[in-house]
Amino acid sequence: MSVCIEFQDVSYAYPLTKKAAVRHLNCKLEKGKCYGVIGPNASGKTTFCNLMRGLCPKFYGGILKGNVLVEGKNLEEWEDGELSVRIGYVFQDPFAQVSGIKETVFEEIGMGLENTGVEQEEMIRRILEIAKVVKVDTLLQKNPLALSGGQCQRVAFASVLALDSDIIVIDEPTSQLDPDGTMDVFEIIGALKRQGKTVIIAEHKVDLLAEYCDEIIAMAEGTIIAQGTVREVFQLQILREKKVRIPQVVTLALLLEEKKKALSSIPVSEREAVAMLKERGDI
Amino acid sequence: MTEEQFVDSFRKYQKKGNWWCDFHPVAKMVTCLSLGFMCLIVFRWQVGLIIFLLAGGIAFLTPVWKKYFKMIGIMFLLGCVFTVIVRLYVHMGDPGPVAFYLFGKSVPVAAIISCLDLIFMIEGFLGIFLVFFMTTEMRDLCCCLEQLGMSSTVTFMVLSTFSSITSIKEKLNRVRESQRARGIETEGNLFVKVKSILPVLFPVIISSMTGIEDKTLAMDARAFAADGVHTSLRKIQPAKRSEKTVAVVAVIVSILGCVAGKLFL
Repeated sequence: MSVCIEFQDVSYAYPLTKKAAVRHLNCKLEKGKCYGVIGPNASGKTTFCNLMRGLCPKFYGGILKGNVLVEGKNLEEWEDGELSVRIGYVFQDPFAQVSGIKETVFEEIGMGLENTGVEQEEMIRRILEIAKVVKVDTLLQKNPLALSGGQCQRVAFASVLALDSDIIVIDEPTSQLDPDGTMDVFEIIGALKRQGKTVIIAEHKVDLLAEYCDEIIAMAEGTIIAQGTVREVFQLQILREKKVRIPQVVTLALLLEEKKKALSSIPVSEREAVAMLKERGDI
Repeated sequence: MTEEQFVDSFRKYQKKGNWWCDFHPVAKMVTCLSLGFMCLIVFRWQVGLIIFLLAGGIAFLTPVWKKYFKMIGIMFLLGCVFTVIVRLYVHMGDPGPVAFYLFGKSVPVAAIISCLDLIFMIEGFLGIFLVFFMTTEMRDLCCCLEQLGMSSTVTFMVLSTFSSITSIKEKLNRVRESQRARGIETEGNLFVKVKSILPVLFPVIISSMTGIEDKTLAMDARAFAADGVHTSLRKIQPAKRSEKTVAVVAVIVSILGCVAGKLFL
């Protein structure tokens, strides 16, 4: 698979700070894969997302060292408008993503399409299609300002997906959602993966990331401490040393290993763990 | 409205079924602006009164007439009281033909005319603008202005300014509901209402301002900075010849009115 985003020794410090938020980031993200970015608070996850979307330093200012390449082209060479279509970005706060100038969810989803000059009929077709995918088709006539957190987040997803970006960056989308809302978001992520989109999701819910992601990028203290497949990364000792959360089933498997009752391999999902325990006759 | 009807409504021109509400937004804006500014420039009660009555007449023919007359009535009363008090206080005892005596001091005719000039200048201007804002969808006006070549950034600023007023109002209502739930008195006479709103007004406005960064990012995520012409989901009927004529006539009348008003009134 070809590389779509590459970090080459990237360090970045926000304005008025002496300490860099991220240091010496080196990684390659391949097209069509789903990446989970994990790490404790203040580990640099959001900055990592902002960097690939070009918000750092273009929007926030600050000092950037190294190169961030998006589809082989340095970030500075990208036009702002072009990059916002190429990379979709869903933010943490669902309410902050409502433009506030549209009176219905239907128009809110269509706003990005209006900005990119899509013709009306095509706009309507895409809005209806996306609304079904993210399950907001029953909310189309509602005022975006009158939605709940979960509904708002889904509308934000729909607005970004309507642009049909190849790369979608999602920063802690479930932090303000209930379990049902969280599951809805991960279902959308699953759908995006099936459509062949590259998805980068910064999240604390590692159990769900383990289930949906192809690869994990673990961060701590502003650096990438591990990158690899879900199974490879979650077994690494360094994650526990740096207090990076790991899925419950991995913790269980490691505890069993300590008690000399190791499973055949480290499971990364509940389903896998149950299958292994059944196979061994434990349940 | 069913989903199909709702989606179909975007395929047709946006109509409300009232001649003035459906008047082309830009033609309406030009008409109202020219009449409103004529009021300001001439600054004579005769012109102000004509515009004030014209605005009332237009409002009477629209579905918002009740709301309009309620608002303009309050503004008229407040405007009258304020202007009369200030003007009479300033001009009381001035030389010239006396209209009547108040607290033993003469009130000259010039003070009364000056009062009327100010009252009808304000009310005429407010009336025509009120009827414009109450019958025009800002998003339609901005869409038309964008089609005429106005920058999308400017139209967004106009729209978000108007929407922020609604958003602040909604936030205030939410805070008041929370206060009520905590047993704080929020309903009653004007004094009680003002007392309950004032302590939260400043924090609500500040919190709305701090959301600007998030809004900017949200707009960026919706490709607001994308190159090329923006399109619109809502279809606005192009201005009819009659609407353009009304706007042009309003401009001509205003220019002539300004000249005539300055020379003869």
